Amino acid sequence: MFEPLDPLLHSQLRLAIMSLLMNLEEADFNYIKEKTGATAGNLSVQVNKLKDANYIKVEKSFKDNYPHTSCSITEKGVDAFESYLNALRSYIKPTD
Amino acid sequence: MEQDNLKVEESLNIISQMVNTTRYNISEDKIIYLMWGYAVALSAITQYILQYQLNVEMAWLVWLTMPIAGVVNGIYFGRKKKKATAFSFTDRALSSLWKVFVVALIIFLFASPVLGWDGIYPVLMVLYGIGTASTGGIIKFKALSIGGYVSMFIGLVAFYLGFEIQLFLLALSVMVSFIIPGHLLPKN
Repeated sequence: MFEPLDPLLHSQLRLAIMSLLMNLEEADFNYIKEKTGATAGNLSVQVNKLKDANYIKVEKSFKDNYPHTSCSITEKGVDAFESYLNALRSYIKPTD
Repeated sequence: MEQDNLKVEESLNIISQMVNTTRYNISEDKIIYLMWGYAVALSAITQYILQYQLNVEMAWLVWLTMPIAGVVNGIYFGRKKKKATAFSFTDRALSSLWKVFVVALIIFLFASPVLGWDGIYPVLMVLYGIGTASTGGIIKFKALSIGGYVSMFIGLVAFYLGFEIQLFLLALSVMVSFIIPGHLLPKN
Protein backbone atom coordinates (compact mmCIF):
# COMPACT_ATOMS: atom_id res chain seq x y z
CA MET A 1 0.00 0.00 0.00
CA PHE A 2 1.53 3.32 -1.06
CA GLU A 3 1.43 6.09 1.51
CA PRO A 4 0.69 9.60 0.26
CA LEU A 5 3.76 11.84 -0.11
CA ASP A 6 3.62 15.26 1.52
CA PRO A 7 3.22 17.60 -1.49
CA LEU A 8 5.17 20.31 0.32
CA LEU A 9 8.22 18.08 0.47
CA HIS A 10 7.71 16.23 -2.78
CA SER A 11 9.35 18.97 -4.81
CA GLN A 12 12.99 19.08 -5.87
CA LEU A 13 14.08 22.32 -4.25
CA ARG A 14 11.99 22.13 -1.08
CA LEU A 15 13.17 18.57 -0.48
CA ALA A 16 16.78 19.69 -1.00
CA ILE A 17 16.35 22.54 1.50
CA MET A 18 14.82 20.22 4.09
CA SER A 19 17.51 17.54 3.54
CA LEU A 20 20.23 20.14 4.11
CA LEU A 21 18.61 21.52 7.23
CA MET A 22 18.04 18.04 8.68
CA ASN A 23 21.83 17.81 9.01
CA LEU A 24 22.53 21.33 10.20
CA GLU A 25 21.59 23.37 13.23
CA GLU A 26 21.33 26.41 11.02
CA ALA A 27 22.39 27.55 7.58
CA ASP A 28 22.66 30.88 5.78
CA PHE A 29 20.38 31.61 2.85
CA ASN A 30 23.51 31.91 0.68
CA TYR A 31 24.80 28.53 1.84
CA ILE A 32 21.52 26.88 0.84
CA LYS A 33 21.60 28.76 -2.47
CA GLU A 34 25.13 27.52 -3.19
CA LYS A 35 24.45 23.90 -2.21
CA THR A 36 21.14 23.60 -4.08
CA GLY A 37 22.21 25.63 -7.11
CA ALA A 38 18.87 27.47 -7.01
CA THR A 39 18.31 31.09 -7.98
CA ALA A 40 17.79 33.55 -5.13
CA GLY A 41 14.24 34.29 -6.29
CA ASN A 42 13.11 30.68 -6.50
CA LEU A 43 14.83 29.79 -3.25
CA SER A 44 13.16 32.68 -1.49
CA VAL A 45 9.71 31.53 -2.67
CA GLN A 46 10.29 27.92 -1.57
CA VAL A 47 11.81 28.96 1.77
CA ASN A 48 8.70 31.05 2.45
CA LYS A 49 6.43 28.10 1.64
CA LEU A 50 8.32 25.93 4.13
CA LYS A 51 8.27 28.73 6.68
CA ASP A 52 4.52 29.26 6.28
CA ALA A 53 4.00 25.55 6.95
CA ASN A 54 6.18 25.92 10.10
CA TYR A 55 8.61 23.35 8.73
CA ILE A 56 11.50 25.78 9.03
CA LYS A 57 12.33 28.87 11.05
CA VAL A 58 13.79 31.89 9.26
CA GLU A 59 15.69 34.52 11.18
CA LYS A 60 16.78 37.81 9.66
CA SER A 61 19.58 39.82 11.22
CA PHE A 62 22.70 41.79 10.34
CA LYS A 63 26.19 40.30 10.12
CA ASP A 64 29.08 42.74 9.53
CA ASN A 65 26.53 45.36 8.46
CA TYR A 66 25.05 43.09 5.78
CA PRO A 67 21.56 41.57 5.96
CA HIS A 68 21.81 37.96 7.00
CA THR A 69 19.13 35.30 6.74
CA SER A 70 19.53 32.04 8.56
CA CYS A 71 17.26 29.01 8.36
CA SER A 72 16.80 26.09 10.70
CA ILE A 73 14.42 23.18 10.78
CA THR A 74 11.59 23.06 13.34
CA GLU A 75 10.31 20.03 15.23
CA LYS A 76 7.29 19.99 12.94
CA GLY A 77 9.71 20.01 9.99
CA VAL A 78 11.68 17.08 11.39
CA ASP A 79 8.45 15.10 11.89
CA ALA A 80 7.28 15.95 8.37
CA PHE A 81 10.64 14.91 6.89
CA GLU A 82 10.60 11.62 8.78
CA SER A 83 7.03 10.92 7.67
CA TYR A 84 8.07 11.71 4.09
CA LEU A 85 10.95 9.21 4.35
CA ASN A 86 8.60 6.56 5.77
CA ALA A 87 6.18 7.18 2.93
CA LEU A 88 9.04 6.88 0.42
CA ARG A 89 9.94 3.52 1.96
CA SER A 90 6.47 2.19 1.16
CA TYR A 91 7.26 2.82 -2.53
CA ILE A 92 10.53 0.92 -2.53
CA LYS A 93 9.51 -2.02 -0.30
CA PRO A 94 9.38 -5.23 -2.29
CA THR A 95 5.78 -6.38 -2.67
CA ASP A 96 4.91 -9.88 -1.41
CA MET B 1 13.86 23.97 -10.51
CA GLU B 2 10.31 23.48 -9.21
CA GLN B 3 9.18 20.00 -10.04
CA ASP B 4 6.25 18.34 -8.35
CA ASN B 5 6.22 14.97 -10.10
CA LEU B 6 9.44 13.62 -8.63
CA LYS B 7 10.15 9.94 -8.90
CA VAL B 8 11.03 8.06 -5.71
CA GLU B 9 14.60 7.52 -6.94
CA GLU B 10 14.97 11.23 -7.63
CA SER B 11 13.81 12.07 -4.12
CA LEU B 12 16.31 9.65 -2.64
CA ASN B 13 19.09 11.09 -4.82
CA ILE B 14 18.33 14.63 -3.68
CA ILE B 15 18.35 13.57 -0.01
CA SER B 16 21.60 11.67 -0.46
CA GLN B 17 23.30 14.53 -2.36
CA MET B 18 22.33 17.10 0.26
CA VAL B 19 23.42 14.86 3.15
CA ASN B 20 26.81 14.45 1.45
CA THR B 21 27.30 18.20 1.06
CA THR B 22 26.81 18.75 4.79
CA ARG B 23 29.35 16.10 5.79
CA TYR B 24 31.92 17.48 8.21
CA ASN B 25 35.26 18.14 6.56
CA ILE B 26 37.98 17.76 9.18
CA SER B 27 40.67 18.17 6.51
CA GLU B 28 40.07 21.91 6.83
CA ASP B 29 41.64 21.69 10.30
CA LYS B 30 44.64 19.57 9.27
CA ILE B 31 47.02 22.48 9.86
CA ILE B 32 45.77 22.94 13.45
CA TYR B 33 46.32 19.28 14.37
CA LEU B 34 49.83 19.44 12.90
CA MET B 35 50.60 22.76 14.59
CA TRP B 36 49.66 21.49 18.07
CA GLY B 37 51.32 18.14 17.53
CA TYR B 38 54.65 19.56 16.38
CA ALA B 39 54.59 22.43 18.92
CA VAL B 40 54.14 20.03 21.86
CA ALA B 41 56.55 17.38 20.53
CA LEU B 42 59.33 19.87 19.74
CA SER B 43 58.83 21.70 23.04
CA ALA B 44 59.07 18.44 25.01
CA ILE B 45 62.24 17.33 23.19
CA THR B 46 63.76 20.83 23.51
CA GLN B 47 63.02 20.83 27.25
CA TYR B 48 64.77 17.46 27.56
CA ILE B 49 67.87 18.71 25.72
CA LEU B 50 68.02 22.00 27.66
CA GLN B 51 67.31 20.46 31.07
CA TYR B 52 69.17 17.15 30.94
CA GLN B 53 71.90 17.67 28.32
CA LEU B 54 72.75 21.35 28.74
CA ASN B 55 71.66 21.80 32.38
CA VAL B 56 69.70 24.95 31.64
CA GLU B 57 67.71 25.88 34.76
CA MET B 58 64.66 27.50 33.25
CA ALA B 59 64.21 24.92 30.51
CA TRP B 60 60.46 24.92 31.11
CA LEU B 61 60.33 28.32 29.39
CA VAL B 62 60.12 26.42 26.09
CA TRP B 63 56.45 25.93 26.93
CA LEU B 64 55.86 29.59 26.12
CA THR B 65 55.26 28.12 22.66
CA MET B 66 51.84 27.05 23.97
CA PRO B 67 50.28 30.51 24.45
CA ILE B 68 51.66 31.48 21.02
CA ALA B 69 50.04 28.40 19.45
CA GLY B 70 46.91 29.26 21.46
CA VAL B 71 46.75 32.72 19.86
CA VAL B 72 47.20 31.23 16.35
CA ASN B 73 44.49 28.69 17.20
CA GLY B 74 42.16 31.45 18.42
CA ILE B 75 42.69 33.56 15.27
CA TYR B 76 42.16 30.52 13.02
CA PHE B 77 38.87 29.45 14.62
CA GLY B 78 37.71 33.05 15.02
CA ARG B 79 38.09 33.61 11.27
CA LYS B 80 36.55 30.24 10.49
CA LYS B 81 33.51 31.05 12.64
CA LYS B 82 33.14 34.45 10.99
CA LYS B 83 33.23 32.92 7.52
CA ALA B 84 30.96 29.98 8.41
CA THR B 85 27.65 29.96 6.59
CA ALA B 86 26.29 26.82 8.24
CA PHE B 87 26.59 25.24 11.66
CA SER B 88 26.20 21.50 12.04
CA PHE B 89 25.59 19.23 15.02
CA THR B 90 29.14 17.91 14.53
CA ASP B 91 30.49 21.48 14.76
CA ARG B 92 28.70 21.92 18.08
CA ALA B 93 29.86 18.55 19.44
CA LEU B 94 33.50 19.23 18.54
CA SER B 95 33.41 22.81 19.75
CA SER B 96 31.99 21.70 23.15
CA LEU B 97 34.47 18.86 23.44
CA TRP B 98 37.55 21.02 22.81
CA LYS B 99 36.30 23.80 25.08
CA VAL B 100 35.95 21.24 27.88
CA PHE B 101 39.42 19.93 27.00
CA VAL B 102 40.99 23.41 27.33
CA VAL B 103 39.25 24.05 30.67
CA ALA B 104 40.40 20.66 32.03
CA LEU B 105 43.93 21.33 30.79
CA ILE B 106 44.04 24.72 32.53
CA ILE B 107 42.68 23.19 35.77
CA PHE B 108 45.44 20.56 35.76
CA LEU B 109 48.09 23.19 34.99
CA PHE B 110 46.93 25.19 38.01
CA ALA B 111 47.06 21.98 40.05
CA SER B 112 50.70 21.40 39.06
CA PRO B 113 52.20 22.79 42.33
CA VAL B 114 50.21 20.14 44.21
CA LEU B 115 50.62 17.23 41.82
CA GLY B 116 54.16 18.00 40.63
CA TRP B 117 55.14 18.12 36.95
CA ASP B 118 55.80 14.38 36.86
CA GLY B 119 52.18 13.94 37.94
CA ILE B 120 50.85 16.44 35.39
CA TYR B 121 52.55 15.31 32.18
CA PRO B 122 50.90 11.85 32.21
CA VAL B 123 47.54 13.57 32.86
CA LEU B 124 48.15 15.74 29.79
CA MET B 125 48.81 12.63 27.69
CA VAL B 126 45.51 11.14 28.86
CA LEU B 127 43.76 14.46 28.13
CA TYR B 128 45.21 14.62 24.60
CA GLY B 129 43.97 11.09 24.15
CA ILE B 130 40.46 11.94 25.35
CA GLY B 131 40.29 14.91 22.95
CA THR B 132 41.50 13.10 19.88
CA ALA B 133 39.81 9.72 20.51
CA SER B 134 36.47 11.49 21.06
CA THR B 135 36.95 13.63 17.94
CA GLY B 136 37.83 10.50 15.95
CA GLY B 137 34.66 8.82 17.23
CA ILE B 138 32.44 11.81 16.40
CA ILE B 139 33.74 12.24 12.85
CA LYS B 140 34.49 8.55 12.27
CA PHE B 141 38.20 8.97 11.61
CA LYS B 142 39.96 5.87 12.84
CA ALA B 143 43.51 7.26 12.92
CA LEU B 144 42.44 9.89 15.47
CA SER B 145 40.53 7.35 17.57
CA ILE B 146 43.38 4.85 17.65
CA GLY B 147 45.97 7.60 18.25
CA GLY B 148 43.86 8.91 21.13
CA TYR B 149 43.58 5.54 22.86
CA VAL B 150 47.30 4.88 22.39
CA SER B 151 48.07 8.32 23.84
CA MET B 152 45.97 7.48 26.92
CA PHE B 153 47.85 4.21 27.33
CA ILE B 154 51.19 6.05 27.03
CA GLY B 155 49.89 8.35 29.79
CA LEU B 156 49.26 5.34 32.02
CA VAL B 157 52.82 4.07 31.45
CA ALA B 158 54.20 7.58 32.07
CA PHE B 159 52.69 7.68 35.58
CA TYR B 160 55.19 4.98 36.56
CA LEU B 161 58.27 6.54 34.97
CA GLY B 162 60.53 9.48 35.78
CA PHE B 163 60.18 13.01 34.44
CA GLU B 164 63.09 12.61 32.01
CA ILE B 165 61.38 9.72 30.23
CA GLN B 166 58.00 11.45 30.49
CA LEU B 167 59.28 14.21 28.20
CA PHE B 168 59.88 11.63 25.46
CA LEU B 169 56.57 9.95 26.17
CA LEU B 170 54.79 13.29 25.88
CA ALA B 171 56.35 13.78 22.43
CA LEU B 172 55.34 10.22 21.53
CA SER B 173 51.78 10.74 22.75
CA VAL B 174 51.23 13.82 20.55
CA MET B 175 52.93 12.05 17.67
CA VAL B 176 50.34 9.25 17.73
CA SER B 177 47.35 11.43 18.64
CA PHE B 178 47.99 14.59 16.58
CA ILE B 179 50.92 14.37 14.17
CA ILE B 180 50.30 10.98 12.49
CA PRO B 181 46.49 11.44 12.18
CA GLY B 182 47.13 15.03 11.01
CA HIS B 183 49.34 13.79 8.18
CA LEU B 184 46.86 11.03 7.33
CA LEU B 185 44.06 13.57 6.84
CA PRO B 186 43.48 14.12 3.14
CA LYS B 187 44.43 17.50 1.73
CA ASN B 188 41.52 19.93 1.80
